[in-house]
Amino acid sequence: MLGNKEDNIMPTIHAHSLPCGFTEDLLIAETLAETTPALSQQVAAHLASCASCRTLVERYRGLQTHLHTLAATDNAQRGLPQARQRLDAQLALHTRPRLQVEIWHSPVGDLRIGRTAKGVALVEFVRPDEQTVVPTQRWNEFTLENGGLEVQTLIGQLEGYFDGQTQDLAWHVDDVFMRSDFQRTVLHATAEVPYGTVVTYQAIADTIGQSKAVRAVAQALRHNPVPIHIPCHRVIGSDGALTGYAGNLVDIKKKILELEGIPVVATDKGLAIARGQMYIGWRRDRYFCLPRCTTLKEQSAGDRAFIASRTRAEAMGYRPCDVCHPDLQLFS
Amino acid sequence: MAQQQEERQVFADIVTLHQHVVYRYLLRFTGNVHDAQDLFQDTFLRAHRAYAALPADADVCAWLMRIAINLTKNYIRDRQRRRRVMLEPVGKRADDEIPEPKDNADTEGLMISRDIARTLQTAIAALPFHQRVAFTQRQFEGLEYATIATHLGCSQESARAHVYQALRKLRLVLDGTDAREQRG
Repeated sequence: MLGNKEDNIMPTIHAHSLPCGFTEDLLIAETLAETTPALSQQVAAHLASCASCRTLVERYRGLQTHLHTLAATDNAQRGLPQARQRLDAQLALHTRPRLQVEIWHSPVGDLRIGRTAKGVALVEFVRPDEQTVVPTQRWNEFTLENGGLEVQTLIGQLEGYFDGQTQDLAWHVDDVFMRSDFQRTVLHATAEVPYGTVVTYQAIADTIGQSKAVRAVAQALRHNPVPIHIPCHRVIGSDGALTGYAGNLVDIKKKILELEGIPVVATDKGLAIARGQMYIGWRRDRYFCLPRCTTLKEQSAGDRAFIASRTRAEAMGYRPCDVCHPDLQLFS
Repeated sequence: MAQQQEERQVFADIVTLHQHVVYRYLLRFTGNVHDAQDLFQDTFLRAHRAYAALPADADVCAWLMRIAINLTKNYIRDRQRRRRVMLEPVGKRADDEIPEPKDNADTEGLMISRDIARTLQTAIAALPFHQRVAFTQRQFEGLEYATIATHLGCSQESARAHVYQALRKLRLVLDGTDAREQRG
């Protein structure tokens, strides 16, 4: 006998009215013993007076007999042992690499640090509302592990960076979470921008030989899977505006830039670097100028790097400009 | 390393636990061992990739069946496409295995002629996808409508309606009568 749950399904079956006005689905339900007692009585009453429906029920009973026989004569497990053997052989080949993950409460908010045997794969800002969400799809290819000594080492190095002790993390990167070859190219170029220096999105686009792809460059940087180590925070708008960081985290971009000695000011268009207080380095010709140098217009804007201090410019191997003599003057 | 081995064992246990249900469905559905074995492999390899992301309280059997059903859907689509290209009549493929009736004591009373078996198999294969899945699972696996509904992502009522539609079509095929004449 069927439960109550199925009782209230039956009245909704009303398709396929027969010439006699009765419902064919009720006859099917009767042969399958899926009716309620009340409906069963109704069917019985109808069958008593309708010969064509009696024939129909007989046909359905006959069909059931054939189907039962079909099921009984067909071995539904034939071929399974071989299928399982093949599967086991395949599974043995599919060993997923390890991904060690740990959340670190950094000075700029929670960061999810992840590494594989190949290198650092992930430095992710964990948004407050995201704490409980387990990132799924992208991680399916990995065997997840919580923390581990290697991740602790990475965190120690990041602590050094935020203390101002370490300027170069010198990590190996696993590019597994990068989305395209274009993004890899962009991030590769960005990785070359030194500590305490900023360049524009245009400059990166020029570097990779795709001067018109400025917005694509910005998108590629927005989805940088290894921020801080690959310094997308050192890339800004052509007008000096910080624009964005990992979506809407521009305040974090400000903090990190200030940590590297880059002056950031609030303008009416939002946060921007204080270009008037920074040296301008010419990346191709390897020399640097004061921001008021008369030679600035002679060079392409995309070639500029903004450098926080003279020491840094000199450490990068830039020589002082012959015209404005940044080595002989100090910023006030 | 130990963790990976442990994980592999966990998945192997899942395969062992559910392989019969999944394989039976695939064999009933495709009607031939070769395709059933291929789809069996695909189902569990796909499951293996996604397993890490499966919530701990998930219904693993239903999840596996949904993967298998999705794969059979692609399978049907690909076969139909292939048929169109090859202009091959439906149900006349040489590798469509129709099970040989067994001539032994167990089934002696249940003998079914090869013609009827072939007619029914062909008719089942010609059913629309949802009807075919629902019918196979109800008739041959004896699953509850509620379970079939979770597999197909539809309501219990729809699951039942699919089965009834399928039975109606099979009955009409067996009658050898055109559906329109029946209704008229």
